[in-house]
Formats: sequence, structure tokens, C-alpha cells
Amino acid sequence: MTNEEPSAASLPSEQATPAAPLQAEGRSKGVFVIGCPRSGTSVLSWSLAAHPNFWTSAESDYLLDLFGSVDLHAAFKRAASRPDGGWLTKNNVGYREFASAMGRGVEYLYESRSKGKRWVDSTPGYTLMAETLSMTCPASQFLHIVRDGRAVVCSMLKSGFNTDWSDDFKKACHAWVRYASLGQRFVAAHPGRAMEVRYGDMTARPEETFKKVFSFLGDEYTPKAVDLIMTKRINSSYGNEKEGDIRKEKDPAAAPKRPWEEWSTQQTARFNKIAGPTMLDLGFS
Amino acid sequence: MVKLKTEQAWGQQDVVLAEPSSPVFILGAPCSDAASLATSLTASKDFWTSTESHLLYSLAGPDEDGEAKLHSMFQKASANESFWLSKNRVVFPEFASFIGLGIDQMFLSRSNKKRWVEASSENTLIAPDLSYMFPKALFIHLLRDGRDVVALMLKHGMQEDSEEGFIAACKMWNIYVQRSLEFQEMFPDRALEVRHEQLLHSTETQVLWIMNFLKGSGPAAVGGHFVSQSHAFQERLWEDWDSARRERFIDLCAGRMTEVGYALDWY
Repeated sequence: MTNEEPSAASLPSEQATPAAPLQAEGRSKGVFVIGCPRSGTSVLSWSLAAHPNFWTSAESDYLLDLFGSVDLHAAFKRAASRPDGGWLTKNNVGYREFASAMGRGVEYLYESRSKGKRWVDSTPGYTLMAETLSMTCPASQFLHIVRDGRAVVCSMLKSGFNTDWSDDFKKACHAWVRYASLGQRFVAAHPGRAMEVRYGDMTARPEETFKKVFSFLGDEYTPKAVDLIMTKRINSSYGNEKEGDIRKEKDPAAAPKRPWEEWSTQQTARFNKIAGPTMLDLGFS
Repeated sequence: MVKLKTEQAWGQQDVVLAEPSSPVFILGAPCSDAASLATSLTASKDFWTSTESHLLYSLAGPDEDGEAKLHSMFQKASANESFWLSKNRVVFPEFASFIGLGIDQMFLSRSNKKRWVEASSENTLIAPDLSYMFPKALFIHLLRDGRDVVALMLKHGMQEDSEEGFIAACKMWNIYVQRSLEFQEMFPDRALEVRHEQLLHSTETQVLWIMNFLKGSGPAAVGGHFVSQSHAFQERLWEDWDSARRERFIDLCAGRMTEVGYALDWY
């Protein structure tokens, strides 16, 4: 803020430093499970954590506020576009390196709790900022879980969550379209770091699916992940009688099979209008 | 690598991750000559600086509602026992120290592992959060006569040279000094108050005092460099103020000036 810019004359430390390339080496190999809320992000992350090399906990959420792409980029732009060039420009720090530095602290925080294991975070909201996360955590990998939009909308409406999509059919449809499309585009843009996982495959052919998932993550397959998905559902929207029941583990056999068949003609038409193209694009009938 | 204290409340063992470094923040009002002091410190082999980063305030300063960003974000993210931060018993100082660690490493990547010195004046407004983000940082409060500071703000265009600009500059000096003093009171072991005038006139002694506080080497070089850097800022531009402006300054700044021991001796 001050204009007392020191004279350019003297000290070697004032000279510009060459830019450091963005390094993934030595960085945390975390896993972000992204996808629309009510798509099975939790059960996928807890299945991964059944593996002895992985660890998970609750959804972290706070990165949305901390790095919400606009904020982080705005902070960078403000600092880099100063008339005097600013520290970042003078030291050749580009946005990717800046984002990576910001993410390093977050990785340390995960590592402090995962105790040497690879951490898994399954915050669905991170689908909306996956591109930023790919820069803040340059060695992390992403699993995008995709579930039939009709099942997701049904689950959203039965979730009892305090969100705008939990009691509004139209908003639920739009939310699924938004998340599923963004996740799909992210996977397409980062084939080496991101993989799509179908909820239907995970539940119908778990062994085959988890073999692919662990192979993608560069780790050994464990049948423990399959055991979990075959015997438990986490944060499921069925069988909830009182507040808090959604957090209980459920028997997968009790899950309703095709709840959207109970929709009215009007609801079906509305879903098709809003989500039809995305459903087809993702290969759902 | 050494242990980073990662958890106070949880009681689990420290986790070996990375060592936070010992940067130096120079606090004070804009135009207090912080940049000259920062640059001068680099005459010692222990320190490194560059231009002011103007970065940390964007990350930790107030949000649209006037709440400190890191604080409000942390509170929101730990409001419920089922949230990640609560479940993993992350307390604010720990959270801030992790966020700071990544930034620390970015500065260190440019400082060639020397202790980095940051002189962005707005850091003064977020000094307590910086103390958590950088748990081994030390802070120098460079205090300067409000008349000099206000006059330089107007000269350098930080405030418009008008009645409104003059008032804004006076208020700015007031608030920056107040925040610095509050920080010194909160963290007496991590903050040192240095007077600009004494630094100019008793350079050797003052620099010895600073370097002793910072545990840095090479005070003679630092002192010499400061004197050569600071010539442009010794001007007593306020002597040209008319009586109305002087009166206005007294109205706005007399309390703070006398609180910090500057005599209002121009009448």
C-alpha cells in the first residue's frame, strides 16, 4: 500500500526469481470423490477407506469457502495486477503455483489426520470447483460418481436436508444436471487424474468396479471395499423415520428399486424436459 | 523436517509434516518506511525480501460482511459436530497454521530458504491471524510520527490532497497505530515497537536491538543500508501545513500522538 518502493539499486534478493514449475512430486495423493449430492459419494469414499491404505472422514465442505474459485482467483488477480507489478509478478508466481501453494497447507491438514494413509474427501460441492482443486492439490485424483438422475432426484426429495433442492422437484432436477454435467466435463478434461464411476456398476458389479477403481488409483484391490458396498448404505434416504436416521447405516436390500415410477405424469415430463438431454448424454435411457 | 504442532485439544501425537519458518512482518501505517526497513534487513545474510506482497490481506482480511475471512469460514465449517473440522478436532490456531504453511513454502521457494520479510502495511490489520498462520513469525511495529505519515500519504497520492483526503489519511494513521498497539499487547513476546525517528538518529543502537529481537546477524550492514534508503523520507513536509490543517490534525490525531509519546510542539 505504501509508495515507499525501495530503490532497485542494491540487494540481490530484490531480483526476480525464476518461476518454479508446478510440482506434483512430493505432494499429497489424496482422492476427491465428486458427484451430485445423493449419488453415493459417501458410500464410495467409505468403501475406499475399507482399504488399509486409505482414510476418510466427514465431508469437509470448507474448501468451497476457502478456495471458492472466484475468491482464490480474485485474491491472486488483486495481488498480481498492482501497478508496481506486485510480489507475485516480480517473483514469477503464476496462478497455478499460487493455487498449489494454498493447497499445500490443506494437504498437510488432511495428512495430519490420515496418519500416512491416502485421504479421501467426498464433499459433493467440490464437483463445482474440481478444476480449482486440480490446481490446489496437484497430485490428487478424482472419482466422479454418476447415478441415474431419476434416482438422485427421488433421494434428494426424501433427504430432509436443508437445501433448496430437497423440497423442490424442479430445483432437484436442475441440480442433478449441473453436477453431473460439470463432473462429466471435468473427467473428460483430466483423463489421467479423473475417472467416472457408475453407481449402478458399483452396486451391481462391485468387484469388477472396485478392481478398476483401485487400479486407477494405483493401489491393490481389496475385497473389503466390496464387502462394505454389499452390506451397508450410508446417508441413504430410505427407511428414515425420525431426524438423524439418514446418518444410520442401512441394509441395501431394503432400498426401493425404481422409486421414480411413482412420479406423476407431470413430474416425469418435467424431469425429461430438464434432465433428458443430460440423461441421454450420460447413456441413461 | 521437524514436528509441527498439529493439535492442542485432541491430545494425539504430533504429526511430522513440515517446519514452519520464521518470517518477519513489518507492521505500521502506510508510508511509515516499512519497505526501507525490510530491504535493509536483507543486508544481513539471514533475510530476504521482495516487493510488498499485498496478498495475505486478500486471503485473511474482511469479507463482504466485514468479518475476518479465515475466522468466519472456520466458524461456518465447524458449526456442527458432524463437520470435518469438528469431527477431526481442528481448532482455529491449528487450522490457520496449516493454511499458512503452504504460503510459507511459496515464500521460501523464492527466498532461497532465508527468512522472508513482508512489509505490506495492511498486514497490520490482520496481524493476530497472521500470528496463527505463521506460528514462528516475529513482528516489528514501525511507528512513525503521524504528521510525517499523513504528509507522505498525500504526497504519494495514497490519499487525495484535499480536506477529505487529509481526514482519511489521519484516520488511517490512527487505526493502523491502534491495531499495531493492540497486537503488541496481545503478543508481547512476538512484537517489537521501533520508532522511525530513533531508527534514523540512533541507527546503530536501534538496529542492534532489532537484530537481537529477530536473532539475526550482521546488524552493521543493516544499519548502513537503512540510512542510505531512508533519505527521501526524512522530509518534514507537514511544516508547510497551514493553521487550519494543523488544527484538523490535532482534532483527529492528538489523542493517539500523545498516547504513543509524540509531542505536538509545532505551535
